[in-house]
Amino acid sequence: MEEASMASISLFLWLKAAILVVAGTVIARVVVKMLNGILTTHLTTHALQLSRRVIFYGILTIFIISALRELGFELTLLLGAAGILSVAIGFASQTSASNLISGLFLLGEKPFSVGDIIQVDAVKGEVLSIDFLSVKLRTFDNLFVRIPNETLIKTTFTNISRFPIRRLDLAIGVAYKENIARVRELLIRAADENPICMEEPAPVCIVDQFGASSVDIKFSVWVRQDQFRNLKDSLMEDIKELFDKEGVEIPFPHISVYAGSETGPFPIKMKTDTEQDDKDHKE
Amino acid sequence: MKKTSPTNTITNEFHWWNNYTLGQNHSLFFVLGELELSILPLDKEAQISYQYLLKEEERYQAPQLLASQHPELKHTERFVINKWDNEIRLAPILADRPVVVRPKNNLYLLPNQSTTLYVSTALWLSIYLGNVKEPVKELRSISLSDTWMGATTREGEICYAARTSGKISREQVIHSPFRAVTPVKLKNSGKDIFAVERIALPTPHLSLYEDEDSNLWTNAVAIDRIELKDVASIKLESKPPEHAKNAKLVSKPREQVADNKLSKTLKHLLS
Repeated sequence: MEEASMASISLFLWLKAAILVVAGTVIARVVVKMLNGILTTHLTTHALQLSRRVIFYGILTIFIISALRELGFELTLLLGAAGILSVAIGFASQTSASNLISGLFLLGEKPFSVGDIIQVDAVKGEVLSIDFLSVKLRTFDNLFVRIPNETLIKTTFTNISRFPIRRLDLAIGVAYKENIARVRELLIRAADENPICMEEPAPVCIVDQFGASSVDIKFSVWVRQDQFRNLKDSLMEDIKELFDKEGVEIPFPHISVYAGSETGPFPIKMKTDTEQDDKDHKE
Repeated sequence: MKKTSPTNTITNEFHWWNNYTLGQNHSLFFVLGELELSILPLDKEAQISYQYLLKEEERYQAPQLLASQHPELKHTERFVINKWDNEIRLAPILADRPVVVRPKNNLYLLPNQSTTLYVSTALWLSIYLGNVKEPVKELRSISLSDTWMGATTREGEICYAARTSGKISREQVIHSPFRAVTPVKLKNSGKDIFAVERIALPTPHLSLYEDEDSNLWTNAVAIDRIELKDVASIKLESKPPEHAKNAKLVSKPREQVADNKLSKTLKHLLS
């Protein structure tokens, strides 16, 4: 009889603890939802994500601790056990700890925020979230990429969308016979006529090198961050069209064959069709 | 093909900002600068078609009502509107970003001199359907290049670029139905010559007015170049320009500025 009543008390306590955890989850969600509306206007997407998590897990932790107390666990004992456990866990979770600390540095340094476009090695994409252990990206071919925070702390990465404008460098090769001044003029005209190409900072045209098959020109123009690909596409088309119209040659790679003698010409023997036919007939 | 009669009677053919009521199977065709526009009301929807002409082909053709023939233009968009009596309102509005204007020839202002430069900038066209308060579509009348206004490539603002002949006499100002004229009052309070290389007109903060001849004006911008400083003080006048006789407000500024002072982002107005 006594055992039965003890069992019912124990069941009651477990039920109470479970209710506390469930209630904690619900309350945390409601509070986060309420604050979401208020904080959206004041915080950046990244800060909002972070505050939401801190508030949610903060409230949930309080309820879990209450639930544990209801079940008769002593908090001081738990903390002591956690101390011993943390040494064991620490050894087992070095990578996670490293990521966590790197994550804190990233949060403090703020080299990018949610929505920015970054490039890490060969991966380029939009930042979806900056979490304690990793940064999540969505690549332009719609893949989900998780990059550990430790990698971001160690490696060089580029924030492509940090500044509102960026420079587009085009490498253009023209034939050696072309007048460079005229080519410059045509390139500047192509930039002037393209509305997404910025007037200021002004386009710059530099003769880069005398290449194997062409005079290589570096043409640099400025564009709005979000129009970079559009400008690259439209300006290259415009330049090709303008060069074709104005008779400016964009040469194919070609090789000059040297006969081996400084003065002697490369020997070429011309054959008529009949000579060739006779030879074929004899064979 | 017959001409539309706008709901309110306006005789000036350049006065295109009106309400138009279209009949069944009639479309409204309009050429404003480089923009060719056609609006076709259908059952529970309106089709807005448009395309852009080449720069050298810019012209003005007053809105016309076309019966049975609807020009095929490059872009078409459909707007669902259940209850409406084919009423369309066309309204002009100034550019959504500041316009950086460069005088075609170098302009210098001598010490302690002042002048008024008349600068015209391209208009945008807002299309309203029925009783919908917000415009369903905004289209530029002329294509403008992008440009950057700022001390460095890190800090500044993306603007539109335009050239101006920079008339300093009001009589020489040529009005156009797709441009608004802004009087820029320049003053050089410095002791050295002030080179006016470019002016960023804060068009999103300016109001648009029409005078009695249906010419479009904005409120004046007063720029005072302070001695030994590269940045001038800038003030937007709150009333229509004095040259615009019987001026009426056509459109309010897109963005309001507190105390008639320009926002921080426009501090590099002159350079």
